[in-house]
Amino acid sequence: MIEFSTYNVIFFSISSFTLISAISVGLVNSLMRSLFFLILTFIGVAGLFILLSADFIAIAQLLIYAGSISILLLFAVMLTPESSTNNGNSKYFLPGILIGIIFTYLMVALVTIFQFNQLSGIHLKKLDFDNTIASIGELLLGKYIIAFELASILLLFALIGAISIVRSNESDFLISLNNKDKK
Amino acid sequence: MIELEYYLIVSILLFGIGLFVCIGKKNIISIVMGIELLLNAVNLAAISFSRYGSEFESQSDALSGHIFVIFILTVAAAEAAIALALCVLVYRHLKTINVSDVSELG
Amino acid sequence: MSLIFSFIPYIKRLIVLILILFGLAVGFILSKALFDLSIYSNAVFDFMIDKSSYNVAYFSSSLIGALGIISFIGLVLLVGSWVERRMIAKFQIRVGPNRVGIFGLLQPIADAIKLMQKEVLVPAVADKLLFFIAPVAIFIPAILAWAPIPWGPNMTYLNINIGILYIFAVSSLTVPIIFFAGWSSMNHYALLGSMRTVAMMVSYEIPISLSLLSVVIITGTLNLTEIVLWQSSNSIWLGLLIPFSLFTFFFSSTAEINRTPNDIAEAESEIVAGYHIEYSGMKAGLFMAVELGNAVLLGALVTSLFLNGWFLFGLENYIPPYIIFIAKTVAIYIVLIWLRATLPRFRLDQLMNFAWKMLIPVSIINFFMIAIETTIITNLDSSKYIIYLFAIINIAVFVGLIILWSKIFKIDKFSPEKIAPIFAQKIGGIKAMEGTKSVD
Repeated sequence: MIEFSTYNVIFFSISSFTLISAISVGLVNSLMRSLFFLILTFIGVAGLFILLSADFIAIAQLLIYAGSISILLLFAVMLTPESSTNNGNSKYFLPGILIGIIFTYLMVALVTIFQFNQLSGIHLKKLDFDNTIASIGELLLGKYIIAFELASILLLFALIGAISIVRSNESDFLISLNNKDKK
Repeated sequence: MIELEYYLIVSILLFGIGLFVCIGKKNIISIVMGIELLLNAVNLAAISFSRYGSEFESQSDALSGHIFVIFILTVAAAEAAIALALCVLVYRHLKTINVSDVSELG
Repeated sequence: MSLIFSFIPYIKRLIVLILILFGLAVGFILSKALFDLSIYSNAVFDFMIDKSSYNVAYFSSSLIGALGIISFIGLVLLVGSWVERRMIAKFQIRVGPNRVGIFGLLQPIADAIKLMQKEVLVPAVADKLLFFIAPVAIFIPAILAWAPIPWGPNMTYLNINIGILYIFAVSSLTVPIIFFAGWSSMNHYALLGSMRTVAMMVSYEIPISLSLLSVVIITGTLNLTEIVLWQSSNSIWLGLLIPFSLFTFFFSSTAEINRTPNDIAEAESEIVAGYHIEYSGMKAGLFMAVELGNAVLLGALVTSLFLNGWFLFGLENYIPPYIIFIAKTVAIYIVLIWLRATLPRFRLDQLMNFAWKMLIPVSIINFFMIAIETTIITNLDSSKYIIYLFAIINIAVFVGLIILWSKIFKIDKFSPEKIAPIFAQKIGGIKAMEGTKSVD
């Protein structure tokens, strides 16, 4: 059975915090509140990353998910005002719960049955990285350089695509105003 | 001792909750939130495999899971930007962002 | 007799002088005992590890360090507001708070008692959960960001390899909290203020990250302690080597923490108080305290990143290093007060133009230059003086780029005559703006 140690207490408190706030994302009825709980979930997952000795990924999680994607979602909520406070359920609410439970049950059963070839003890200590960030940098600019460049192209396309999708005649107003001044 | 299975179970639970949010909500923004939850669950699984995995030739190869997560983060940021831009566009045309109301072509 | 009376106006200054001398004498004696505060935390650790397990010992010794930092923040919050009000009064040729206690020193305590006595009003339509959580939650990043600050040689509380990223990530958590504070108040001004904050913070995070990237690429580390040690081993302050990064970081950070040249988010004359308009009593006090604490945190960051931390020309061997660090921090804070007393507030469109048309392109050019210089420095390991040459080149390029952008590209001349409130209409029902076609 699970023994009582500091690591276990921290693990169970962080994971229960994460899961409770993740469930709250689906259950609260205001979209702003569910966004708030989503940010809490991101922070909890970052805590789990720290427990897994992935310090850079934890910080990146905080920076990108909790700091940036949540801001994007905030902007989306504010730019669509009338349905913003409504976090209503679709007609597939009960099927959704059912699918979630069935999926979780099957996968948990699979994980508990399957014997993973995993490290423990001293071998695990060897993977306790002092400094992941240097190795990550070497891997990104060495072994995975093509994927890295492709990711930057993807980000550029996403940027241009998002701007060209949202752009409309209304937002051309300021530009036309400037052109008029030049004439 | 906490082992790989515990992290995987947390990841699976998070994935299940994400599925439920994706399916059970009618607001597009909620669905995007559900997708973010799914991606977070995948990240957690990748990092825990990278932590507890075995049979890597060098130490830095054990960090391949971290690289996967970095690419997932990149794709998630791009995906969120595009999805929310589409969401704003749908709202501008139809004055609603409920997926049940956005059911006709044109 | 008249001679004695003529001295009376100077008696206060004489008392201050005597107090300062006395303080210096006491400080010299104490500085031997308090040279390195980390020995006390280590003593607690050594004491506890005999009695109990490693975890308990680690926890208790880290608690001591945390208490030290938090008590410093508390002291800053108490004294800082008094310093700010007195300084601004001096700038504006007034007296400032001088009634409560000697020199008005007890004024912050009186303010705090007043704020606590006030009734905490909650708007009937407010989102209660977010309204209650926001002022508490905004304290968490403000205190967490103090952890990796290097106070002295062994006195970094959280000596992690990703110090800069940590501070950047933690402080980016304030953005959604401020937004929740503004949104949950259900007030138009609060919503406008929080939208302004979010827009400004998101756009000013880019120049901040570019300037921090320059620091990181030239020192080759993200650890704040190692950045300080790099500066002392190369015997140059990074603020001199890369002046544009210092300027960008400082100016953009004033936008991030809502200090006065950029405090668009809470412009009193436009949108009353921005996101904390509906908060009263100690809740508003918490927002103000966080603002003050962040200003001092900015001072500490600038000190450790650009002003060589606890080193001051060999003086750090004689007086405790953290005293030098705190002195530099307070100096930066006083510069912030000076800016507040001198500069008027910018308009929102001016600020956005400045970020996107001036700071970001110039930062990118600056970043490329520093990357080239770094490759030269790392490949020529024999020549130490090339860094000074690069410092002169960087200062020249800094001046040249500023002149280029201000005189030739003329971003300061850009002022649209009419700004339609498109954005305000988009964010949902600013009723006062419905009838207007344009706002001058």
